[in-house]
Amino acid sequence: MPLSIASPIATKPLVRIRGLAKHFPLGRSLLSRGHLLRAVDGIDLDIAPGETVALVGESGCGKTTAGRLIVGLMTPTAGTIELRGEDVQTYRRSDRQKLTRQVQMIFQDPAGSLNPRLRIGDSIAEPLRSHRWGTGEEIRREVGKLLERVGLDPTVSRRFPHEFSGGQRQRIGIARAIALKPALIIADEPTSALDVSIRVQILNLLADIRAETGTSFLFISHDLAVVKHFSQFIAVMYAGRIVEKGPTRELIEHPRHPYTQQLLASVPSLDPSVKRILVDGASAPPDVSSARSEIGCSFTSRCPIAIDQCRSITPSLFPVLNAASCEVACHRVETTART
Amino acid sequence: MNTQQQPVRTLKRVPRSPGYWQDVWRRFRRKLFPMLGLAFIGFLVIVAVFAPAIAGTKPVVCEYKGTLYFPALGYLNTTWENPIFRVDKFRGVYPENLTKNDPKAWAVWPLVYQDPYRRVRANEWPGLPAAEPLMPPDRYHLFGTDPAGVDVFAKMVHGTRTALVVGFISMGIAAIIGITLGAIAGYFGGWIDSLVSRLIEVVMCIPTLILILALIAVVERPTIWHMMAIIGFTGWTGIARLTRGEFLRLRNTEFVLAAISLGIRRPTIIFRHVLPNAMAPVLVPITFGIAAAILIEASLSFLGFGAPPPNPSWGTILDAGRANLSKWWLVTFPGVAILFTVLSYNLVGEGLQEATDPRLRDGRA
Repeated sequence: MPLSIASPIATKPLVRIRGLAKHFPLGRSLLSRGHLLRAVDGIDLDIAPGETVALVGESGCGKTTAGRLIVGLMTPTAGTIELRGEDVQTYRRSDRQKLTRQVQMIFQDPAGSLNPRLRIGDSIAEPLRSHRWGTGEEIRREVGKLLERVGLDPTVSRRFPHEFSGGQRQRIGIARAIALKPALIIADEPTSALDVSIRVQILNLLADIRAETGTSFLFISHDLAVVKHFSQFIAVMYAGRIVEKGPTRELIEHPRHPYTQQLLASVPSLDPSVKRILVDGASAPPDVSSARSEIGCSFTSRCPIAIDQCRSITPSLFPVLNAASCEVACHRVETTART
Repeated sequence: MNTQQQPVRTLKRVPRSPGYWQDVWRRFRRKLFPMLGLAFIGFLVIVAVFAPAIAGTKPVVCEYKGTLYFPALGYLNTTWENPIFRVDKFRGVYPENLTKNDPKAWAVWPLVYQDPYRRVRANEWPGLPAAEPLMPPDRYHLFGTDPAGVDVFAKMVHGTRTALVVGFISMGIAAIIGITLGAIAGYFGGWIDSLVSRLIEVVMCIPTLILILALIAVVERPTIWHMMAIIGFTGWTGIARLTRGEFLRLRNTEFVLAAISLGIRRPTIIFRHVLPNAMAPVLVPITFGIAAAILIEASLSFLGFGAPPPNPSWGTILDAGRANLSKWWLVTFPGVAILFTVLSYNLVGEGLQEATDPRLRDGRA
């Protein structure tokens, strides 16, 4: 897919996230009270209209939680999510329809995200019905069109999810997500449960839909190889925080944060001469509970270039010197913070 | 198993694929013993519904003084027997009174001319001998007679209704309470869940049988409805626990999260997404509960605390057999009927469990 790297978009962002955090209490006993799991620990992110932003990180880094916060499945502990300048948390329950009309989600497990008792036509029609989109006949015709759009025969609408393959089910999930023509689709690892051969088909489908409708995407993935073809902007998450973000090409070609570098190095290459370096200490995922010290960079224990400063001062995101479109949270990278 | 083998081309005109319950039925149908159980319950339902036409002393249909009547309905509800038969002083003996009062009258009679409530007199029906107490089975009294001279076969046929109604009504009450409370606890969680869970624990501690005995001591004229109400109001805990567990599990499944994120309203989510997926496992304890309720009713009647005497019940026949142990027919027929009914429900419950078990389903998908 040839993709022009979007020039910095001057328009107001569709979504503006500031300081978003979600902490889960750990344990309920008196002794462990107060211990928190900081799944998402203050992230800032903008998504422009029509832009695709990727949220990348290893499992457990909080990227799924971030996606669920944005779609409104969870209430954040702190921070704001603005949709076209309106804080979504001020939406009352009746206004939730306003949010869901604009933000939709594609789930990781296509089998689990479809109700096994509903015929798929009903599953796709449900958001339309719920938002009083049209009459029964109009909705039925629209469901047919949506099925065709995602490459399925409209006559299969009377079948049940278990009669489809994984890739077909994900197509159904996509049809359901685009039914209300949302401005933003949050795709939570939409391809990681699928076969490699089907993965490409689904990605192409998403890219086509994006080209047709101009929908923004927040693409959540652990796979940089997938992300670099699909998104214009990448945010790398580690232990609940964004450690580096920047335009895709810049970030892939010049990764500055040591974690991003390790992540990129772990992507398998078709070229056998390129030696694959596994992330150092891959067996030790980040400890996001409050048992870890809250001061200092959370990557320190796996970082090859950590210095004393890393253990004492938590780095914040700052624009990189000479490449202002990128931001990095690392003491060892030359950022505007030091100038 | 055979749906996936069609070539893609034939997908053009796909038949409506079988729904979940159709699928469950298809798997249930293959099991011999659950099907036998289901057939026996079906047989009991037919017997219960047509009891007045199987054994009785009132015509199923008769023409009397130019009008059609259905006196046999009086067995189901005494007010359904037309008052004219009381005004004309029938005293329950239809064959001779019909012809005496209206020579042109005709009637369709039950298969067996015997009454579940009273002993028949000699020649009430042409050639019928008078019933004596404790007669062994013969061609007039298929299952013998009880100490009052009432035909046991007629009592058993009419008692079927009691047995089935007790099971369905008491478990109906239990299911409504159990599913509602379990669903609320599981879906909303938090303090509501704690409250319902404590309530379940409290109710579980109430011994049903003793509560019924206490009620019988307090209420002046206990009826079978009191009994069903108590069985229902104390028997919902297992159903509630299971429903709560299912709701807790389903509440966090991705398809429910998907429904929430799609902006689907909460009632739709509960009734369309969660409840149908929770129903199958809940159906199993309901079936077992019906069997248990029938047993409770039979035990109470056996102890002499059951349905008041005129009500025919299998348990009361057993009770009569307790005082007349040598009269084997008083114990054998109702005992076997209770055994087979309870067994049937248990077999059906087990069959349902297997047919709805998701682990057994997965091998197919």
